[in-house]
Formats: sequence, C-alpha cells, structure tokens
Amino acid sequence: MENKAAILKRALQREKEARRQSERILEKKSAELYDLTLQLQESNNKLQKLFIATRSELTGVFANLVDAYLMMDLSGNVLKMNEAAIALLGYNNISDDNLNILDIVVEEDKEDMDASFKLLLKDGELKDLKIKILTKYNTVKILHINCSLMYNEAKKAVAIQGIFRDITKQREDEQKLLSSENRLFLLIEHLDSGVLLQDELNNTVLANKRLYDLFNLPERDVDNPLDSQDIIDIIEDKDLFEDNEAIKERYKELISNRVEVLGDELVLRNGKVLERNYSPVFEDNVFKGHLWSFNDITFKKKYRKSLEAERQKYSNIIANMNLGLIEVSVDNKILMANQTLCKMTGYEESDLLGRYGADLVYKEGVDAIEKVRANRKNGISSSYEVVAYTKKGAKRYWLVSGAPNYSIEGKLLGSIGVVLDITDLKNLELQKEALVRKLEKSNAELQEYAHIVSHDLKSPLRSIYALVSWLKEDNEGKLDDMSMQNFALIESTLEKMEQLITDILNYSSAGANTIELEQVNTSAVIKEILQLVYIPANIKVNLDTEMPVIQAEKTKIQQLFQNLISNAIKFIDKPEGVINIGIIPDKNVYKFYVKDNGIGIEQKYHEKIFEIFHSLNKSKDSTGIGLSIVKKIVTLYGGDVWVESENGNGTTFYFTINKKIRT
Amino acid sequence: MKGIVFTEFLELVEEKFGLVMVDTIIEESNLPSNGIYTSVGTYDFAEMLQLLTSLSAHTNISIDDLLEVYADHFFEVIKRNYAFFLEMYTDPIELLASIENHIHKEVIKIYPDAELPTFEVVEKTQDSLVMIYRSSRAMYHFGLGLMNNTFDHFNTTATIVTEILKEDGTEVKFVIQKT
Repeated sequence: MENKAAILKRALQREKEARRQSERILEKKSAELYDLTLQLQESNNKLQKLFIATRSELTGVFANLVDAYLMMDLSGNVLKMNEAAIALLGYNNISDDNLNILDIVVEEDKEDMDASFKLLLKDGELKDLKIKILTKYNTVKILHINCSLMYNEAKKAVAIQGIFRDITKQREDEQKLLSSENRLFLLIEHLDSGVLLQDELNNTVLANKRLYDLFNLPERDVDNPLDSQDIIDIIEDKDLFEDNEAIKERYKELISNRVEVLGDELVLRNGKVLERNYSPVFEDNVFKGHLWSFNDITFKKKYRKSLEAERQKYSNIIANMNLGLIEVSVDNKILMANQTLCKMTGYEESDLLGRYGADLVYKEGVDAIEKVRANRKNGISSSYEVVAYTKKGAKRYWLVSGAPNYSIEGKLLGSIGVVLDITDLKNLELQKEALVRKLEKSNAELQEYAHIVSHDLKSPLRSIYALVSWLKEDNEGKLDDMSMQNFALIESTLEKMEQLITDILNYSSAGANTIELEQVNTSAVIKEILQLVYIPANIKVNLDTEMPVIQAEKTKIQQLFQNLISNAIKFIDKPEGVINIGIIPDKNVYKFYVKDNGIGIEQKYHEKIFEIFHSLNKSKDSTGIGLSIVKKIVTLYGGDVWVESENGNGTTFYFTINKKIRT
Repeated sequence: MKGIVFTEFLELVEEKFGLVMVDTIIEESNLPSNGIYTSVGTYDFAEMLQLLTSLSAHTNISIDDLLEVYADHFFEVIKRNYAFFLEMYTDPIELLASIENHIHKEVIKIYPDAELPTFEVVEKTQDSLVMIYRSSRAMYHFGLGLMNNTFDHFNTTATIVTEILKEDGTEVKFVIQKT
C-alpha cells in the first residue's frame, strides 16, 4: 500500500513537473510569438508607407508618362487615356464616344489582336504585343503594347491598363538594318574566302559557306553554326594539315597574342595551300573576338612557282647565250646588258648601265639608231647593222635586232635589242666583194686582150700569106716541085693559123654575158647549117621531124649545132656515113643529140675533149676549140654536154638546154 | 523525438499494464528527463529505446510487437486529435503515398523541430504501392502498424510485405498490395 502510494506520488510528481515544463515551453513560445507580432507590425507599417509613396509616385508617373497610357474595360472600351495616348491615336475618349481599342486595329492584324486579347483575359497580362492600328488621321502605326488586368479588392478583374508605344519608325529602321545586315551576310556568304568570326570565348558567331567547303566541315546550319563550338578545334581535330601539331601550336599563339597576323600559309594533306589571316576584334579597346579568313592560294602558289622556274630558265638562257642582250630606256639609256654583251664591248656591266646606247656606236651608226628609235616608238621591230667600237677602240660590226619593250600597262618603256657580232662575217663579205670586183676587171681586160691579140695577129698573117703567094707565083717553074710543095704546106699552115685565131675570137665572144633571148626554131637553124657546111656525098644527114622552138640566142644555138655537125662530118671514115640529129623528150630540159657512125672516141678522152685546144686528131681543120665552145654555150644555158662512144663505132653527143632560162 | 510519442506511449503502458509498470520502467531506466514528458517538448530517442527495452523485458513481448501495438494506439490518437488528415483522403494507398509530401509537411507546421522518417515511393498503382522507409530510429514496425490501421480505417484489407534492406532496420522496403 505504501509502495502504491509512493508510485502514485511519483506519478503525480511527474505530472506536475510535466505541466510546469509545458508551461515554460508555452511561455517561451508565447514570448517568441509576441516579438514576432511586433516585428510584423513594424514591417507592415513600413510597407504601408512604401505603398502610399509608390502609389502617389505612380499616379504622377502615369499623368506625366511619355508613353501612351490607356485604361479599358474588359471588352476593350477605352475608359481613360493620357495626353500621349491622345496624341498617338488621335482619338479622345471624351469626344469620341464608344472608342474601342479592338475597332482601330487594321484588318490584317484583327485576328492576332483577338487572340492576344483572349490571352490577356486568361493570363492577366500581355507583353510585347506588336499590332498595327489606324489612327484617327488615317495613318497606320505599329504599336508595341504591354498591358495587364486591374483587380478590385476581391481579386476580380475589372479593367485593363496598357502602355502603348509607337514603334513605326523603329520598325522601319529595324527593317533597314535587317536588309543591310542581309546584304552583308550575303556578301560574306558568297566571298571567295572562308570567313570565321568568333567571340571572346572562341564560340562561333559567323562561319560562311566557303569555310565549310574549304575544311570539309559537316552539315551546316546557317543560323547556328556548329552549335557555337570552337570551329578551329573541329578543323584541327580533322587532321587535315601536313603539320597538324605545329598548326595547333600556332593557333594557340595567335589567340593568346591577339595581334594581327596576315599571310600564314597552311599546307593541307590533299596538297592544297591556304593563306590564313588573323585579326583580333577590339571595340573601344575591349577585346571582342577573333576574325579569321582563309584563302585557297594553291593555284596562285603553283603559278608563282612555275613563273619563278620560267624566269630562272630565261635568265639562264639570257646569261649564257652567245648573243648580246641590251635593254634601253625610251631616251636610249642602258638599263641592262648581259655578260655576252659586256664581253663583246669589253666594258663591265657597271660601266654600261646608265650610259647612252648610242655612245657605243660609231658616228656613222648613230643616224641609223635615231631612225630605228623613231620606228620603235611606233611599235615597229627591226634589224639593222651598226658599226661599234669596243672599249679598246676595235671596230666591230654588229647586227642588232630590236623590239619595243612595253610595261604591263602597255606603256613604252624602251627597247630590247639582241646583238650579234658579225665582224668576221662582214670582213669575209668585204673580201669577197673586193675579189669579185677585181675578177670582173681582169676578165674584161683578158677579153679585150684576146680580141686585140687575135685581130692584131691576123694582119701580119695575111701579109705573110700574100708574101708567100707572091713568092710562089714568082718562082713557078723556077723552083723544084719539092719547094713548090713546101709553099703549099706553108699556105695550108697559115690557113690553119687563121682558123685558129678566128676560133679564139669566137670563143672569147661566146663568153659575152649579154644574152638577148628570142624564139629560135632549132629545125630551121639546123637546115641553114646543112646548106652552109660542105657535106661529102657519101654522108647522109637525118633530122628529127619534131625539133622544138626554144628561148635562146640564135647565133649561139647556131654555133652549137655547127660545131657538133662539123665534128661529125670530119670524123666519118666509113664509105657510107650517117648523121642523126634529134631530141629526146624530157620534162625539164631540151635534150638534143648528134649521132654519127665515125671513128669514135676512146672512153678515157670523154672528159678531155671539151677542154680548150684539145684536139685528138691532127687534122688540118681541127683547132681543138670547137667542143670547148659547145661546152661554154651549153653551160651558159644551164645545161650539160656529154658523149657516148666506142672506139671505131661512132659517137653520140648529148647536150641539154634548160627549158627555163634565167636572164 | 517529440514528446507526444512519449506521453502516448506511457499512456498506453498505463492502460495495458497499469501504473506500476509505468513507474517500473521509468525507475529502471536511466532517463535524463527523469520520465517527465510533455507532448510539446522534445526528448532524446535513446530514452524511448530504454523504455521499450525495459517494457519488453517485463512483459516478454518483443519490441517489434510492442511497436505494432503502440501503432494501434497511436492511430487512435490521430483519429481523435488529427482527424482532418484522414478526412482529406478516400483511399489508403493515396494516403500512404503522400506521407512524405503532404502529411509530414503538415506535421512540420505543428512541430517545426520534428525529425521524421522518409518514405520514398518507388512504384504506385491503383492497388499497390512500393515504398522505402528510411530512418535512423529503425522503427519500421511502428510504421507497419500505422499502415495496417490505415487500411482498417478505410475498411479495406491489404498484405504488406517488408523487406529489410539494411540489417539494422534503418532502411526497409514496404510492398503493399490491396486485397
């Protein structure tokens, strides 16, 4: 029982203590609540003041608002508008009854406006609505509208208020800006250079089509180039370059230095060469990004290389050729001279540069040069000979071939001359000319001499002949037969001598170089000869019926045939002699022949017989001149003469005369 | 741990085992609060553990079973004092699924310093619910009891299978299937 009482006592004690404990807790909580209430009241007061201040401020703001301010009921009927709104719309809610904002929206925007209005009623506010309205003055204006619902104390929407801003002008400007931006974009887009613009964080801002093509970049989205990644990284990751690592290093260097670098060359694995230009973009000294441009210079580069090779080639040719090369300005000052020219003149190149080209040339050449220069100005090329002097004063002959030299723009810069030293050639030519003159003179003299000699020899011969004739007549019957026979021998020797002189005269006149051509009927000429010369009765002459008419000198043709026919008659030893005269058809020449059945000529004499004074037979009427006259005449007519014969079996003389004789 | 858990626990002990048992377990335990509890106070959870252990020893009932019985009692407290929680729901699954997001939020309003277990909903259908209980107190049997009471309250039945995810009982999966 006592135990139970103790337990109860303890339980009670616990209960009391618990009650005190909870009271303490509650008192503490109560105090906390009181403090909190005080704080709340204070902030409430503050808020109230702030609210009043803000409201009065706002009232002032609305009244003086630069932007148009409208208050409407929930159907859009205008309840209130400020001065700016009246100025903007032209309408006045006081004078214009039943002004509804929905009514002044232009037709094309009405649907848009209705939808926006519904949205406003649903969401409580509407921002950035752009709509066209027709003002009272019948002008269309683009308005930018922000509006919201106004609520009463019960949180019920009662009205709409809106700020209207005229953005017509701004819109126009925007349009203009847009179109000029478009133009710029198009321009960049179609540039032949790859263009890349990055912002300061290396994000891609702009990358044109060419850039994608150059680096073979994946599908392209114009509005979002490569999701703003660092294109340079992408390009480098593609491992396109010959020396990828070096290019990466260089890239890091460029973007960290931020200094303009133009004309870096990048060699791609596919053989292309790109030129890279880098410019950092600064605005008011603030770094804004990187601008890159890439040009494909593969072609240019190759072209330049081959051009260089060509240039080298021609330089070598010019330096090593055996011709002097000289370039002079318009006023004839030497601008360039190659080694050969220096050698030719004996001057150093440095001596020559700046000197007048004419100084090198002997006086007699200067006039020619002046004339050439005048031609050169009219663009005429020419070749001419000048006499020049070397540094040591030696006289040299030059053949100069000059041509005008034009600049790329087509302006005359001067001329370029190729010079060949023809002194040796020239000397030979001069020697030859002198020789020919001398020869002509001595030839004439010789002819004259032969003529005179033959003529002068004839008259003493005739005297001797007369004297011998007289001696013979006077001593007829007094001297014995032997002596008389010797007189006859002297006479015949004298006749032969006279014949000899006549022939020499003929020969020298056969060399006369005046040829007067006429139509010569060979058949007629031969018939004349056959009447003139003595033909023994045992000899029969046959003449071809088809003898031609040729262009020649009649007397010479006559001499020709007469010599050959006389020869044939002379050497016929047969009881029945036959002489055939004729022609063998030929395309280019008249090929005549005179054939006999006489004694014939041994093979070894076939050449010799045509030499002067070479008679095979010591017959009284053979002087050994006839065939050499034949040869001379045939040669004169561009022909040839030869013989076919066997000893004892007759002889055939052939000769040709050119069908076209040059006069 | 909130005082109400202690006061209601002792209330239950007094009701089921008499005042002597209340006095015995308080006197036996070494309690910093000396067994003086008020529902608006906050006390160390170790005290609850001592009281439970002591009661289990004297009654030969396991702590888990005790917790389930306590849950029955506590559910009556809820019905009596906080009926509006229950009135907000018409379906026990819905109620259980919203412990974390709704009921515990309301509890925090009344007891801002309460340390509450978490119930993560893993899977939920019309008739089933899988939740993971996490609490350093490892009192999932208390939770299990409350759940059973909830189904009773809505006049429905359900099988609730528990799966211990951490051996000390601080993480337990509840698989609830309406029957």
